[in-house]
Amino acid sequence: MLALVKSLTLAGMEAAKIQVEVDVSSGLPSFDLVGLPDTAVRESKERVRTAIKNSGFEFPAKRITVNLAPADLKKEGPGFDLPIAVGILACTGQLNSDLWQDCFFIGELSLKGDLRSIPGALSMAWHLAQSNRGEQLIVPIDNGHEAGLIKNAKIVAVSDLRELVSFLNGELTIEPLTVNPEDFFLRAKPNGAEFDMIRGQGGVKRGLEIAAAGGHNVLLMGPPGAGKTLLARSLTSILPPLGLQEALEVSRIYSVAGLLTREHPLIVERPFRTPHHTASTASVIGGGRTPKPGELSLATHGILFLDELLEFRRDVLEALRQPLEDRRITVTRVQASYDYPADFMLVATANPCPCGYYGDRERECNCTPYQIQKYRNKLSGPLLDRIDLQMEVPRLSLEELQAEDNGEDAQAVRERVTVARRRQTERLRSHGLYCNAQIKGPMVQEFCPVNEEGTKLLHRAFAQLGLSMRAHHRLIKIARTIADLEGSELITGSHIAEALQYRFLDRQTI
Amino acid sequence: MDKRKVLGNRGEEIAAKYLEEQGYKILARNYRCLLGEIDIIACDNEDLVFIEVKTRTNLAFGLPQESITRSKQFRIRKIALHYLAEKRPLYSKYRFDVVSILLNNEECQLELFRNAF
Repeated sequence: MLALVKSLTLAGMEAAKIQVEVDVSSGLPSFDLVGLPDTAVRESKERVRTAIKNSGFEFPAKRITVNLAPADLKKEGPGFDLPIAVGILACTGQLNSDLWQDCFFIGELSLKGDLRSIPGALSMAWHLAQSNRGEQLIVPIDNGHEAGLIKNAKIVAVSDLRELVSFLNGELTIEPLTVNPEDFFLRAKPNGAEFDMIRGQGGVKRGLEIAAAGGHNVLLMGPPGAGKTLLARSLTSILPPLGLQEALEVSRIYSVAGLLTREHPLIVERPFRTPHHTASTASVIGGGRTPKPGELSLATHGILFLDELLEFRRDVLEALRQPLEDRRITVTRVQASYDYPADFMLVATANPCPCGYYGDRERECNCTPYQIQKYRNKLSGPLLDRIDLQMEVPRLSLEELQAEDNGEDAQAVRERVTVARRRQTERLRSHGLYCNAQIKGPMVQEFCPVNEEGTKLLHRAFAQLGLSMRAHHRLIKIARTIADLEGSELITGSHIAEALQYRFLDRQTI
Repeated sequence: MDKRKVLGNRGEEIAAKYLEEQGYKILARNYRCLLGEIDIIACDNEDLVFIEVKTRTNLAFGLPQESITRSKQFRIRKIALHYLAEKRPLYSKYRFDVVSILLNNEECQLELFRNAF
């Protein structure tokens, strides 16, 4: 007898429908699995056999042939255990209703018959909800909450094979799972502790406020111990809260990477990813023989923090160029090419020279101009061009440190940032964007009207600093954010002037 | 004599009797060559059939037919080729059958798998 069971697999971020065809016929007992399976899929034979036996069902001593269609798509991972098991049970008459034909099945089986979670359940539920035909998606219990986040998807979460069979036989009713994403947002807690713990550095803090409001990239440069890393880390405490749509987009990436848990099925805080500077290109960009999202993608709608930027491998830094501009990354491998989102805000720190004290007020730098030049050359022009806010973090004097001036309360800054971000999201709604940093070239004119005074200043700066076309656009986008923080629709000369302050490295010559 | 051999021979007797009832004509029993042995060679209408008989008394190690693994199938194929080369029988088609026998006291369950591999 033949059974056709519906299942899903991941192809990059997207899910694809797979038909699992199971045939059980008389003959010498054998179990063949075809349809381009990888090792994990091929090994599912043993898991399925044992799980069926240990769940108290009969594994037929017959000739079993399983085909995963379409045959040209590489099947990977253990997610096909469940559909294969269901197919075998259906073929051998151990399921006495046809309910299984209207369900999609995903899940890994343990030898005991328990269901284990698999990556990408959120993406699969999303895919099913789009082509909504009222089919149910049977998922392992640990994947239930993430899949249940998708509206219009009928999710049935089961814990083991025996429970599933009772459900399919109509002996047990399991209500489709619905999860209210709002519930998880209650758990999100902003930590305002750090930003107002930092003394002095008023100028840098203002720059970080702008960056947080518009999602702009930041580079902090200064001597060792000036507080660059602390400042960068404190940025999380003033970022605007994550919106529901954004949270779903981020969670989908985490689902594909297999990083969602039953307790935390929705990412409700902005990601803060801090890869170490020894990270490989594949781990930052994404990839591997069967591509997985990298740090760039995991930082979507949050911060990618590269501490000691100049210590990173050159190829890693140069690979950042294209995603910084396109906000997506396409990973191409022999088998397929996958598109991952990479919509992050880059925050980096660096020393100004090898010894670290170039430009310091107290200590003298003992590097030669050649050494400094060589050191800075690691940060290529094209990459620097993509960093909107370049700021110098000076070492504070003892008096400044002892002053009881922590600046503004983090909560107040966060509120201002949130209001400014809301203005941006409102303005960019028609394009499905959230912040000024996402504005693409041609849209600048539409969304960033500059008054006459501002235009004049821009022209002068353009000529004097020799800015690139891209730097020009980015400059206007920063000015847009500054205007948003002020609540002004029109960008004026003072906004442009402030934005120009943050191109520190463009102005500095050694 | 070895207990296992006794059981095997008994199984083969039962199988041969059964096959003759089914209309098979036995050509050879225990055909041996350097590569091994084929239990029964028979003809069934137009076909030359190589038959492996497997006998068991309990299911502790699985069904008898489950023990005909890929490597065993491969070995039987090679012996069959040897037979064909040596005897040059006039058959255009040939196939492999498996007879599985479960002997439990005096009860006997027999199953024939035609064209098993």
